[in-house]
Amino acid sequence: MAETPASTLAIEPTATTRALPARVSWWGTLASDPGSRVALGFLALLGLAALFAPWLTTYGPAQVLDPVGLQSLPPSASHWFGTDPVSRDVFSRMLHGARVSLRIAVLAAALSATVGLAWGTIAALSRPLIDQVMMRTVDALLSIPRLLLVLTIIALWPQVTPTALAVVLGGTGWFGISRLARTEALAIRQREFTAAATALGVSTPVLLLRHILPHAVGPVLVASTIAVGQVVVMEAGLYFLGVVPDVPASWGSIIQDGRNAPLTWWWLTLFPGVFLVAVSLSVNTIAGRLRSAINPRQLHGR
Amino acid sequence: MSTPDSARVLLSVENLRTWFHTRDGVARAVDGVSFDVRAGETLCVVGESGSGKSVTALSLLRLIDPPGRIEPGSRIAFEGRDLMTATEEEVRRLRGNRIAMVFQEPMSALNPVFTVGDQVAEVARIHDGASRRAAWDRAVEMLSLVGIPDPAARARQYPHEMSGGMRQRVLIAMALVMNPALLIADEPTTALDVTIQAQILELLTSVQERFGTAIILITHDLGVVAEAADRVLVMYGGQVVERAAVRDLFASPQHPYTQGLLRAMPRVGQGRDRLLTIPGTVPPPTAWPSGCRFRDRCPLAFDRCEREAPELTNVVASHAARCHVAGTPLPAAAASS
Repeated sequence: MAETPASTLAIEPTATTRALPARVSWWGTLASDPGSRVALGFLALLGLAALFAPWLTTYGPAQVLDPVGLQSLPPSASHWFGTDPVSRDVFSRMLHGARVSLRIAVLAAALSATVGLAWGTIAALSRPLIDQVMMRTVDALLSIPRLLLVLTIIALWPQVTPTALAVVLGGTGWFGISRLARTEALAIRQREFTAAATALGVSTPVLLLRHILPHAVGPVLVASTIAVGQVVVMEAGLYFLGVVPDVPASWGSIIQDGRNAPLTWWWLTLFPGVFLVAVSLSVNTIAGRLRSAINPRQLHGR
Repeated sequence: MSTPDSARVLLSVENLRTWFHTRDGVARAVDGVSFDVRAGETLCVVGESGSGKSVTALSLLRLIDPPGRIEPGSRIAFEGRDLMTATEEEVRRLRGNRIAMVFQEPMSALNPVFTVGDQVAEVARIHDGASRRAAWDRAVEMLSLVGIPDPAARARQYPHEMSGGMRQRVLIAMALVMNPALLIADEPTTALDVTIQAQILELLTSVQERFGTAIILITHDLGVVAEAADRVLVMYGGQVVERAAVRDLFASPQHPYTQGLLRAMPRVGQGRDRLLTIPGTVPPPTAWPSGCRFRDRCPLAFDRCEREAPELTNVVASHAARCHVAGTPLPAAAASS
C-alpha cells in the first residue's frame, strides 16, 4: 500500500487555475435593488412597531377615551391617525392590529409552504396512481373559490382565534404551491444526479430530503412570499366582513368602523387601506426580486 | 491487465431480458443476454448507441423504471445471491456497496447544491453508518486516492468549481468508498478530452490492481477496449453477438458486425484514404428484423439469415459468435486486415 499509482497522475492545469465563480446570495440580490431595499425597510419597521406596540402607543387598542368629547376626530397632534366613532385612538389600534395581521400572515404562509412542499414532492416520487389521486384532489380543491372555502370552514369552526384563522388561511393556501413543488421535483428527478444517487444506494426518503427538497425550496419560498401579501389582505377582509369575532384591534375592523361614512371619516379608511396596500406591495416586490434571483436570465432581460 | 483470480465467478447473468412496454409496442432493449464477470477482471461491453449496453448495466442494479421491466426468466446472480428474487431493500444495500456505478456525464451526475466531500461522505454514511466526522475523513481519503490534489480543500468545493476530469474522479471516488467487488462504468470517458480520458482509464486500471475490483466497462470506443479489457462482449440489437478474450477479438473477429467495427477504426501506419463504415443504423428495438438482427446491414447475409435466428455458439473455446457463417472460412472481403 506504499505506492499510490493513482495520485501520481498528472492533473490538468485548468482545474487549479479556474477562478471560482461568485455565489450570488439572496440577501445580495435584495440589497442591490432600491425597490427591494425600501420594501424590506418598511416591513422591518412595521414588524418592529408591531412587536413593541404596547410601548410605542399611549392608549390601549380597545380603550374608550371619551365617547362624547373625542368621538370621530380627524388626525391631530395628539391623535395622529384620528379617533373612531367610539373615541378609540386609531394609531394605537393600527399598531396593535399589525401584530395580529403580521402574525397570521407569517403563520399562514409558513403552513402553506410546508404542506404544499411536502404534498407536491411526495406526489412526484410516488407511484403514478397515488400521484394521480393526490394531484386530482388538489385540482378539486383549487376549483372551489378560496373565500368560499374559508367562510365554510369558519362557519363550522367553534372558536376562531387569530391562530385558528392562520390555520384556516394556511390550510387553504397550499394547493397551488403543491403543484409548483411537484413540477420542480419531477424536473429534478430527471437530472442524472438523482439516478446516480439511487445507483449508490440512496433510499427514496433520503433522496427526497437530501437531493430533491433543496432544489424545490427556492421556487416554493418565492411563491409563499407572495402568499403573505394575499393573506394580509384576505384576513383584513374577513375582519371587515365581521365573519370572524373581532380581536382587540385589526386593520379590517378599523375600516369596518368607518364604513358608514367613509368620506367624512376618511382617516378610518385611508390609514388601514394604505398600510394594507403598502404591505402587499412590499411583499410582492421582494418576491419578484427573489424570483429573478432564482432565474438569473430574467434579471438580465430587464 | 491480467486476471489472477480468473476462476471465481462474481456475477452471472443468464438470459437477461429487459423490455419496455410502451404505447408503440414492446421495445426489447435487452433480449436474452448472458455473460459472467470474474473477480478482478475487466469486461468491456461494446456496441453502437441503441445496442442495449446501458440498459444491461442498469438492469444489473435493478434500476429499471416503468414502463421498463426485467422479464421473468431473467437470472442475475451476484456473489451467489439471486438478485431477481432479492427485496428492494436488499438490492439497495448492494448498490454503492458491493456493486457501484460510475455514470457517463460527470457534469450532471453530481448534485450541484452539495460539496463534493459531502457527496462522497454520504455513501459512507448510508452503508457504514459512519459518523459525520468519520465519513468526512473517509471522503478526503478517497479524493486523495483518486488523484485529486489538496483533497482536504477540494472536498469543500462545489461541483461547478471543478473541471470535468476532476468531477469524474469524484464520481469514481464515490463509487469506491465501500471498496465494491464490482464497478460498472458506463462510458466513463466519453464526455472528457482525449488526454483526460487516458488519465481516467489509467486511474481505473490502478484501482483494479490495488483492490482487485472487477470492472464492467461500457464503451463504444474500441481504443478503450484494446487498452483496458480482459474480455469483450460485443452487443447488437439487444443481444450479445460476440464474446471473446480481447486478444482473440482483435486478432480474429468472428461476427461480421465486429469485423465492421474494427474496419471502421482508424489505425496508425495504415495509409487508407477513407474509413469504412457499416451501412444503415440500428433498427428500433420495437421492430427487430426476423432471423438475424444484423442481416439488413450484413455484407454476408444469405437466405438462411432471414429464416433462422443464429445462436451464440463457440467458434473455438471461449470465443463465441452469433452468426451462421462464423467459424466457416470467410470471404476475403470480410477478413480483418
